[in-house]
Amino acid sequence: MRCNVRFLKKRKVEADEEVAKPQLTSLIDVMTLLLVFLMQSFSAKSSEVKVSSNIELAESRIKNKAAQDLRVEIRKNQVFVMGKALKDVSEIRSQSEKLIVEVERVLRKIKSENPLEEKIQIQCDKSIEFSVIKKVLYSSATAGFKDYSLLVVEQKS
Amino acid sequence: MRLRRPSESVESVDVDVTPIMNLFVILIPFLVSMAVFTHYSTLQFTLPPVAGMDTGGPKKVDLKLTVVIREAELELTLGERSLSKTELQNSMWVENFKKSLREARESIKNKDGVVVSVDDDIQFEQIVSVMDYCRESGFAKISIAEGVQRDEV
Repeated sequence: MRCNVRFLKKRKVEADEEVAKPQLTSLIDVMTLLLVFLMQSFSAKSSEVKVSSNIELAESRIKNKAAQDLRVEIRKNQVFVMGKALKDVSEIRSQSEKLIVEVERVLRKIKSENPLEEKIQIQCDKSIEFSVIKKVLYSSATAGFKDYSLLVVEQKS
Repeated sequence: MRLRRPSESVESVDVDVTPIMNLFVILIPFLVSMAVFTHYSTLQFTLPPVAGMDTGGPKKVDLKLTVVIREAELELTLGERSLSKTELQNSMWVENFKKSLREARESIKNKDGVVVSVDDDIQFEQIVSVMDYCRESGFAKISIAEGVQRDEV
């Protein structure tokens, strides 16, 4: 009888010791790698530039910080000025005149409200051909803007 | 001498990972929210003066090196004179073009400015690449102009 009690106690202790413990080693490995990667991508300064999801920017090796200027977006299908759609790219391609009346009118209005504003930032999809870009630039120049910059994605070396 | 039995070996110590897991659970969401994966930059350029606009009177024309981007080639010109041509079908065209740019820059007076003259069918991505090569060759001021249509004889 004494042997049975002792045996039962030993079995209870063994059962308690067999509680499954989760293996955290692999989880900590993954967390450590994630931490190192995210610390490398960390940036205290947020980007001031808004880029539409419908534009695939060209890559460049230049490292100039981009600021938020007056924005003209040449997306795959349409031309936008400060978020407002003005004309289809296909119509611009087919027109023979260099001047895009809608773009020039809106830019001239913005210029009249802000006479000191001279900078334009062009956000252009990388597949757009120069015949469209030159008409947008011509319209901007006619509206009175003189400083131009192209928004690009920094190429990782 | 008392020999140690195998059952009396040193007990393994379990490392308590709870504090480090607490740290990860706080840090990782914070870093994910602050991570920046795409960096933007700006390429400055100028345009030729618009016809009819007042440009402040007659100025002495400074002859600038011109890079003409065509569908199949890149040509370097100075005024009417063609300095070099680089075929784009050549696999070494980037190195050849950079070398031509450097040599041309050494031979001209105006070493700061370059005009990139582009044909209508050229895609924006290629224009940006050529502007990059010009900038890396030492040209700080880049202008963009329309390509001149050549009359085919």
